[in-house]
Amino acid sequence: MRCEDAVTEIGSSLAGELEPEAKARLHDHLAGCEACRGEYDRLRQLWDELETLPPMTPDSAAMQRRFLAMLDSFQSGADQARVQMLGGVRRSESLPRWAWAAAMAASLVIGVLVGRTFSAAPPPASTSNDLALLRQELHDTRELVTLSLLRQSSASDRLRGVSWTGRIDDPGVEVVSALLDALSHDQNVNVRLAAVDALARFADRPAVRSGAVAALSDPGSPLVQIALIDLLVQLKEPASREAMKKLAGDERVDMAVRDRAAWGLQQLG
Amino acid sequence: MTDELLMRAVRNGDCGQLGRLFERYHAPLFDFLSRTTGDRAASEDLVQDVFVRILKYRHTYRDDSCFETWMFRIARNARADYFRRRGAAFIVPIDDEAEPPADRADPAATLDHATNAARLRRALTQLPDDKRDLLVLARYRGMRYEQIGALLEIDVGTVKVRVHRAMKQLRELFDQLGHPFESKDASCAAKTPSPKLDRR
Repeated sequence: MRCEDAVTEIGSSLAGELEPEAKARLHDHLAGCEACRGEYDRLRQLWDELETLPPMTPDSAAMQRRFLAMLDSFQSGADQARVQMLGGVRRSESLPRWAWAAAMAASLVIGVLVGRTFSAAPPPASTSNDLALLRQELHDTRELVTLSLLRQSSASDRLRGVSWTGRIDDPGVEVVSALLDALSHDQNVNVRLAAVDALARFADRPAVRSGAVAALSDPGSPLVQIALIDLLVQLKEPASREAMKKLAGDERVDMAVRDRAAWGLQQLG
Repeated sequence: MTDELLMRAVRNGDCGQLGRLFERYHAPLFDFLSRTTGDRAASEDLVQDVFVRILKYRHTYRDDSCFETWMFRIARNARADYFRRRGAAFIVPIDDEAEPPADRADPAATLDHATNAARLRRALTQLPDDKRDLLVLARYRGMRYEQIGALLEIDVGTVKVRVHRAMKQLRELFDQLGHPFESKDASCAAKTPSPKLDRR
């Protein structure tokens, strides 16, 4: 067996896709080829590491309730748009009850109005005004829920808050400021990493770009610094050059961060 | 009753049978979506969206289709639409609940494990979508290459090569996030302690 054939078979062997004879041929080759054996050992270690990443646990009961509501709505002949509306709002047990109730009520009323809008008769002008008003209320409620979650003491809740920003179209200054605050000051590295990714959506705002550059110099977490370098390179942000130069040349900085900053500078040109 | 028979019943108007398919597949679907997006809330929304789409497009289900393959294809499309609507890719890399349990007897080992897990999750998020899908389907869903090929509409030989490339790229990304020089000279790395990322 040639080396190039052997390395391609390594993935198949790890995935249990090799027949016994092919597996034996691969292991014969590995026994006599140090380079391929090294490759096998590295990939085997990574394959095993993947196994140790625990799954997230879904809220099956809440998902079941939503599914049944959707199915019931569908079977009773509800309008498709209404079905989708019900599907688009998620129940989270950890949300404040008032927030959930407000969001659900707004969604249901919007669903009814959408149903009327889709009916044969043209909707009266007041209906479209009501619809716009309720959409705005739903938007505001989502912002409130997000801000509320971002202020919780539990890191899990704050992660959910960051995640909720993805449900808000064009969030206001307060939500973006809360994300920047999480990026710079949250005690949990996972929340800070999540904030980096969430802020990427709002990179057209100058405050987000300058906040990301400022956070780059914070030595709090190398993982966050690397994520910020990747983001700023992706954004081709010229103002980040100086901060990256400092990181790349500072021996007190974590080696992986220095390496990434040097790479970032190359990318920015 | 097989998945395919249930889906045929749904297609023929017995939509209540979708409940049985939901019971069978909402957890595996959530696992696939949460591992490829890292976002719990989005994944729960997407599972719902997949079943709405199954109802909406039930007439397109063909008798000779494997239901699971068809459903995962819908899930990939739903996920792509979800993130397209929200602009740039939005991935929350780690969920606290998914952290490994702490080993009270050996805090250093727990820290190492947690750091490695964070690096690995981060590396996974940086893989291109198609490669991440391949690894998640093969590693966690335990899908055979033949089924993955049918899902991604590529032949088995291509799946084999792409899995290997995905593993290599994941290894490189993992190394870059903490042991930047380990992959270049594994023998040196074995002798010299590599710098560890500080998880603060």
